[in-house]
Amino acid sequence: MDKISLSKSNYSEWVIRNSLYWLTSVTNWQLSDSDSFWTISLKENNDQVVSQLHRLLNDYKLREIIANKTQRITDSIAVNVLTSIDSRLKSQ
Amino acid sequence: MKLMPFNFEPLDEESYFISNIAGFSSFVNLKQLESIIDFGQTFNPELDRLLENKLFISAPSSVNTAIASLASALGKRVTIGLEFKPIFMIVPTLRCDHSCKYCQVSRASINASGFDLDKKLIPKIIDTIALLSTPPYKLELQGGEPLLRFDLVELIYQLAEEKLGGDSIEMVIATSLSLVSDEIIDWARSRNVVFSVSLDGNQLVHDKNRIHPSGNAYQLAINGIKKIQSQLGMHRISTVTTVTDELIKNPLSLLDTHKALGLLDLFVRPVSPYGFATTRSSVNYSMQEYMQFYAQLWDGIKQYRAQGLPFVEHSAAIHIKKLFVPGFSSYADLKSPSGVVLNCVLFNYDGHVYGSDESRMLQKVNPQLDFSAGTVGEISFADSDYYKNLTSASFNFLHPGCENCAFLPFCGSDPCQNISMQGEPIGDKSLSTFCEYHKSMFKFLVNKYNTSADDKSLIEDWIHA
Amino acid sequence: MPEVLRNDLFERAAGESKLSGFYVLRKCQPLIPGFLPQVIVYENSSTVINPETPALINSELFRAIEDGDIANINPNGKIRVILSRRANHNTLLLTERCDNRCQFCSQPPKDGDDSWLLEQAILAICAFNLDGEIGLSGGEPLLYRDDFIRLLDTTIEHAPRTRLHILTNGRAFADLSFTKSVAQRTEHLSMSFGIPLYAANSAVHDKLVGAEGAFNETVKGIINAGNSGINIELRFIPTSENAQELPFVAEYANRVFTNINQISVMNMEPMGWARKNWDELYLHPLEYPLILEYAAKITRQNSTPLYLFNYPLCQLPEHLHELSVQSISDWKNYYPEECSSCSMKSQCGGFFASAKGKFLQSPQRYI
Repeated sequence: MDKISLSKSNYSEWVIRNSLYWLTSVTNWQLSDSDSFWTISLKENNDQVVSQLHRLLNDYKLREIIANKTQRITDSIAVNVLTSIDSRLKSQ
Repeated sequence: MKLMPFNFEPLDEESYFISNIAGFSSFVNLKQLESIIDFGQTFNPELDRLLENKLFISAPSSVNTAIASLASALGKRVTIGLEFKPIFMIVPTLRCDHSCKYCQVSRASINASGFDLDKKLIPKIIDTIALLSTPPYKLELQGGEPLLRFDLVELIYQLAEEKLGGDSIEMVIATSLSLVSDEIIDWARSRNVVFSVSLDGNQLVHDKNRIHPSGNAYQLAINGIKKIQSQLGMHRISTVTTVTDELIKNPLSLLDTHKALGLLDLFVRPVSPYGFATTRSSVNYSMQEYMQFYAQLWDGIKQYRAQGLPFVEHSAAIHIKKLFVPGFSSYADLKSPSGVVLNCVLFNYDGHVYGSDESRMLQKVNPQLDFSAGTVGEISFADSDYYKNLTSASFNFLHPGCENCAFLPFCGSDPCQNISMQGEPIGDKSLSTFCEYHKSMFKFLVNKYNTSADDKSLIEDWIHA
Repeated sequence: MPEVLRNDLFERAAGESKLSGFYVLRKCQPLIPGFLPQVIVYENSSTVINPETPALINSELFRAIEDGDIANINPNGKIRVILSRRANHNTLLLTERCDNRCQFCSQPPKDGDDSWLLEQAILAICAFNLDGEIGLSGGEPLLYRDDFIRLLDTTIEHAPRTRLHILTNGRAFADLSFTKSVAQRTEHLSMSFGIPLYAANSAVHDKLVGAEGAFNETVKGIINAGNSGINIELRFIPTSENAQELPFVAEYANRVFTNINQISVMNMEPMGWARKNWDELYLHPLEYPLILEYAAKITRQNSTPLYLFNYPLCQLPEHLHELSVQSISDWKNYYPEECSSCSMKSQCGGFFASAKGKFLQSPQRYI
């Protein structure tokens, strides 16, 4: 097993765990961490798997920014949906 | 401009498909995606206007309107998804004259006893249908081979006609057609009945997995199709194709087989991973191989269409409608909440009632558990923990793995498959065949839509198929 | 305008009693006291039966009306038949005030208290007691919210078979409690609301309607109304500023809104401010057939139909003819000279009477 180290200041746990979630279908992996690093051990460690992991990490970093920037909006949508379903059911 | 929540999916190194919970979608490149996320705009006025119109970004003064709009759209989708519009499946017998290698429900041998529906239950079944739904009533006879008990088929139709009205019922008989006689044709002539037959490809492909004692499953199906076409009309028969190792090597043979019969509608799908199907040797292909097969089939269809043969492949058409037709939710196997119970009520030969065909398969594989909602006359889906959990666990926007997926608003969930494969209804999507298949199809289609004008116009045609 | 399909304007003869205001036009006795004063219309002086009751002697008017039609007689003696059992559309003006300033408004708003219009309208609806549809327009008919609710309640009580179609900018429905009180009345009275949305974004919509913040209120209004079960006809007028927005509005309607019964795309009427801004705003329909087609395609996939209003057939590509509705109200509808030998005339909606000179897009005969 080869290991990939990623700095905790660059990658949040959310990004790491979501990326690894989708790596399951590609290869087996193990995750450990120290104070400042995530360490991912990959059973199959070829270029394809590593580039797949980096693509996932990159995409999830973008998704994390969207989620952070829109959290308040997402919350109010949820409240709005419940109100709108409620009123629709009442009008039927 | 203000960023609104959305999901994205990479299509290749450059292009991204984006969508939001309202079901709006579009395409951007990586640079534009990053710019939207960083600055809430792409600085291309035309694209920014489009993104605003589709609620990916919002003018600062309209954020609350955008929130209300996204919420209303999501509420609309959930409300439509929760509508109770079931197809009623009835299994007159589990016995079958075929012993196909991947038969999903298992089967009983042709001479076995105790696998037929009790005649006395039929009036109660029809009463239940009348109670549960409104016209038009869709009845689907499943098997086994339903035509082994044509007398029950006749009786079901007759009682349904009396109770529900002849103009209000549509009956589909799922059959191998080995038993279609002149008597059955005569009966069907003046009735609202269509036949659905499995056709896996040419003779070699079909007979490899579909086993009739005569060794002639293919020929029997072809004879039946021709008989129905010539005596009842072309529209009275449709086919379903299960893709096997044999077909995957030769996609075009499927088109030739259909073309020779004058059939331009296909319904093609991978073998379902339920119960018995994958334990047999007929399926060894990966989803990647399936999609390679599908891409070849697609090109073949395009070539035929250019020659004036407007083939339609309905699996793709369903994915296309999910993407582009707001409110399309009538296909039970690709919706969220799942179509279990909401879109299907199944009356089994033994009098047990299920919320889906898959639930009866689970029952067969796990006889120690109860997957039914009781028996005819004494049904309650609400009292069944299984159905309660199933429905509440089938809202995909709550699922890990789904919540960040750009195909979320168009996809569905299959809690039965997750139970069958992973032992619980939500499942790990990275290991889910359902996820892999549907995501692959969506990706294939939106990529085609985005990259070629030809493919785009075919896809727009199939919106209406 | 002699060539309109149904004349609705008449003159009081000199010397006739100085009636003015809203009247029920009667053709026979007896007069029963009701919501409005009544006046007998005689064909000529020899048919006068009861010289004591208020009367109009006017053969033209006599032949144009049915017993029970409603007229507005102004102090100068002009008689306008405002509710007619023979008309293809009946419309009442509830107010001339409006909170939008649409660049193409065919009936530019006026300021000042005109709440008497709504009071007269209530009486007219009840007196007319039609088993059919009456349109309510403005101005903005929902501006006087409580009075509008009173109009609904009075109609429910005295003319319950009347169906109301209200043309509104929908902004009042942004107020959920007002929406709820309208929605409650839909159980007892058939009504639908025509609400225009000119874009799926605030910049374009607000510019066209001349009011900042209008988009936000109209969109929230449509969401509230639809989700409360109120029937909505969504309207769109293509101009050079917003024609390309139509497909987005159609998709928005299908994904976001509920209870949209129909999307109506309406050709601009050369009246009011539309005349003034004609050169900047008017877009000939043959400049946007692809947009119409695309929007129609979007809606055809759903259950919401899209129709084209006020389009003479010769200005549409033939495959869009089936979406076209003969829609222009008969009192302002005409067919220019060129139409007389056109084979499609009977299926065609014709032109606005106001479409003359530069406002008339030359008709093309179908032979």
